[in-house]
Amino acid sequence: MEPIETTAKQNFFARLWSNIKFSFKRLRERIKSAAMTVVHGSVATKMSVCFMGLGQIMRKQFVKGILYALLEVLFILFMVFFGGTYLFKFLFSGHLGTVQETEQVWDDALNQYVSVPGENSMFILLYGVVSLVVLVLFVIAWAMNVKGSVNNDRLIAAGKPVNTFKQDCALYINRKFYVTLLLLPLIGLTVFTVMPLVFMILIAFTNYDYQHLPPSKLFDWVGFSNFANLFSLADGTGFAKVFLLILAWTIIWAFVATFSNYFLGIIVAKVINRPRTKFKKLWRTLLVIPIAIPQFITLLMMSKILDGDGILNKIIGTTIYWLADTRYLSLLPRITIILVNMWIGIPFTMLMVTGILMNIPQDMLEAAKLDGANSWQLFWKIEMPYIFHVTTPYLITQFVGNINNFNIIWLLTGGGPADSIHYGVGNSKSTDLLVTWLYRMTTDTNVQYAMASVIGIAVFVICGLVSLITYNRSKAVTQEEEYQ
Amino acid sequence: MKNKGKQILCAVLSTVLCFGVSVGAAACGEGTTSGGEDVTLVIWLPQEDRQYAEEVTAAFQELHPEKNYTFLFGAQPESDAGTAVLNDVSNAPDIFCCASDHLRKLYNGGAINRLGGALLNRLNNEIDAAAMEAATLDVAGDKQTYGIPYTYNTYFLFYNKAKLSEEDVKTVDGILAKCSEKEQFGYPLNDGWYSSAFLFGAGVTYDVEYDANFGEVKIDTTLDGADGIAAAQAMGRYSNNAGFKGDSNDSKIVAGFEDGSIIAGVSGVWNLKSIEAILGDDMGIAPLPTYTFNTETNEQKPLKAFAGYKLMCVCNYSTVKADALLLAEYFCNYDNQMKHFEMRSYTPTNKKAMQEQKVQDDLCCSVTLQVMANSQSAASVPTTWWTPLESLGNAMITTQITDAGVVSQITSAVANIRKGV
Repeated sequence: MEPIETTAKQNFFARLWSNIKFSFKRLRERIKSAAMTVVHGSVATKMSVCFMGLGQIMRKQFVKGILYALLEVLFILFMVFFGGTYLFKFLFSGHLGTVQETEQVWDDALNQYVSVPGENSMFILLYGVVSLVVLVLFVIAWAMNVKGSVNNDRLIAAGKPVNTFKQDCALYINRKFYVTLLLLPLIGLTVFTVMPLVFMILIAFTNYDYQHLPPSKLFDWVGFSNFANLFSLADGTGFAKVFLLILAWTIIWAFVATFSNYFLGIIVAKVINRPRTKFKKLWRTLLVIPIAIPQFITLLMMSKILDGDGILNKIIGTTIYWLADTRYLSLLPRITIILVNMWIGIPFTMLMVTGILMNIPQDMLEAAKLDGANSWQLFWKIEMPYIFHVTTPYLITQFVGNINNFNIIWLLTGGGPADSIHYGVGNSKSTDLLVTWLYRMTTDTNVQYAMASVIGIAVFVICGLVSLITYNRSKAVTQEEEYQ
Repeated sequence: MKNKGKQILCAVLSTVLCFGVSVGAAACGEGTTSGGEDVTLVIWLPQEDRQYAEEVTAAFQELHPEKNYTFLFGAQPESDAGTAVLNDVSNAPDIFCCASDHLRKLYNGGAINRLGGALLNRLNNEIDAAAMEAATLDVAGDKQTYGIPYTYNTYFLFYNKAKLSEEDVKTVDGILAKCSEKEQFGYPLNDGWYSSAFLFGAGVTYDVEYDANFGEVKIDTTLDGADGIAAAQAMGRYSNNAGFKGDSNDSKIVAGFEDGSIIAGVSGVWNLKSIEAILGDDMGIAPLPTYTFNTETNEQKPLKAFAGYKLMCVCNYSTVKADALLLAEYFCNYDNQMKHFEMRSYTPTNKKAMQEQKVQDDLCCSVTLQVMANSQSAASVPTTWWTPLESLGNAMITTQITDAGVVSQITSAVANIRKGV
């Protein structure tokens, strides 16, 4: 197999696609060759295919063989007594349960109304995913067992002794130490990140909402209809209008919040760094104080200060609803949120940029000064490109972070105020970001888990695309060698 | 050896990483256990009722020495309990207190246990019929009772007797005549629970059609009729008055009475003790006033409050349902309703308790019953009702709203309330 050629001209997605194609091709070839090896292999190998560990036991690798056999027994027990039925319902029945809980009927013996429990769609989905992951892990273990047996064949053919269990173990703290190291994090990642993620994504393809709440009701697969609903304009049920409005505000918010913090942070850092500025440490400390207090507390405090009856209005003698004025598409609350965000965010940029400014090679600046550059030119032509180059990845993470900035919106306004345009499906309010809207959908009176999951996927796609495209186009990646 | 040290360091680091992952995801839920003599009952009720509940449960334990009860209390206001229970039905508490307007949703989510048998007969005998009616759903012609009503859920007028006379508090205009920018009338205009009183007083109605599971199929309202618009315009007129504080809520009203910036406010019995502590004998309670519906003819219409009941419900997935039912009934019996009345001024629903002289003499109870007599049942309020009303109130609070502005606000509110029409 020739590795695929990538040219600089190919864009990222073309490369991604050809990489995927290449991986599949390689996988197919490897399976094919593995099958051939087994077919032409020894009896022990063929036994391993049917009974895990038997091949190892035949080669006198008793501990390893028994472990493999035990694994197979455990797997079979798991599937027979627990996972199998869930896996079957999840993969093949086409429904997430068919037996619904009965109505409550009077039970004379118990002297109370009782209902006969039905199937629980949530458990079918959840344990279906878990069983599927267990199945995949088992197939990997099985392949390792066959591969081990094939390796033994090779060693015997070469006239060498097969590894003892001790030697195998020694291998995992020496040559294959990375496997030992990464095993725990990998398990953690699978159990706590991958499985929940798959589960959550699958919910987007069901009708899991307040009308279909397990355990009393079943929910079922609905294909892509939730995604269609997200872009539907249907009166009363279509999400398109609300989604696009909130998306627009989310993007505007993320853009303004990120760049206002960024540029103002740079300016503050420059001002403090000026040789003429006195009490540099004092200014820095004062500005950094908001970082020292937990954001949760500063934001709650801010929401009280900016309330209609808050201290700010008392001091300046007005009754301005900083966070509740609904006029002009709730312009005032939006601006207030961005200002509060600056107060919290500028110190971070300032600290970082201060460090960067101190690291700019002085010879560059001196050379420019000798050539007669003024301070504005120095900043704009030398310092700014340097800062921008170093901080592009930071900007990208900030932008994505602001798209998902739940804290500031939820703690300041709770997504509100309610104005006359935004609410409707999903009960959104004027300063809701996609994430706060999603959160409200899962906790509000009429919960809509499936649509919330669809919006979660939409947020993921948006963030993923923004990060991938901007990061790959940034100078930090394309011209990495220039500053080295 | 150096290599070995590195390996150990790496192993430690990877384990730490792993912990980081797992701690974030670790979650535990405490279920209830049944069997033998030990019974654990989880009960959700408002924080203010904690003391009352502890006394009641202690007495309950004494009544049932054959079992060893453990009571776990969760602080949950009745107004949010229905939503919170539905968020995780299988781990819901055994007993919870909720507002009666949650009943359909709780039924829809299969969360509540139906009451029946001798227990239901006893309740029907002891508790006010109208209250029991509010805890009962008509499921395809079959009357099914799902909770025990223990008090009324409505609101009335609190005022400072030193500033306002009994005559003043009969009309909103009378109250506002004595109010100024420094001494205001607090009315939560951006909360549909309160602001709807203007609308219902003018005869605005809503109509919800349900499917077999009490899912909302069709919602209609007469809010955009002539009466609805005139009522909303009256709200707008009042909110433009400097003495009218539309941007208020339960806590702001209490704080306002405390610093004197509020001399009259609309709130419920849950605030009674805190306001009484501030005003003492100057605290006045009255039914809701009337408001000027038509400025030309000076026609007055009543403020017609939302009204419901507070119910004690047993979760259908409780593993100790028999004990939970027993305790819920005990909570709502004559003695404990009287106790609740004495501790928190809650008007009892128990027929015998209602006849008690001290209940009859109590101002709060009689005002509550007067408000109930002319009120809008919150039983089948559409779920789409609240946010549009909140938005209508917000628009009135933040601007000097005009009559034309009210019309456009009502138009968009109605568009968001209606469903399937």
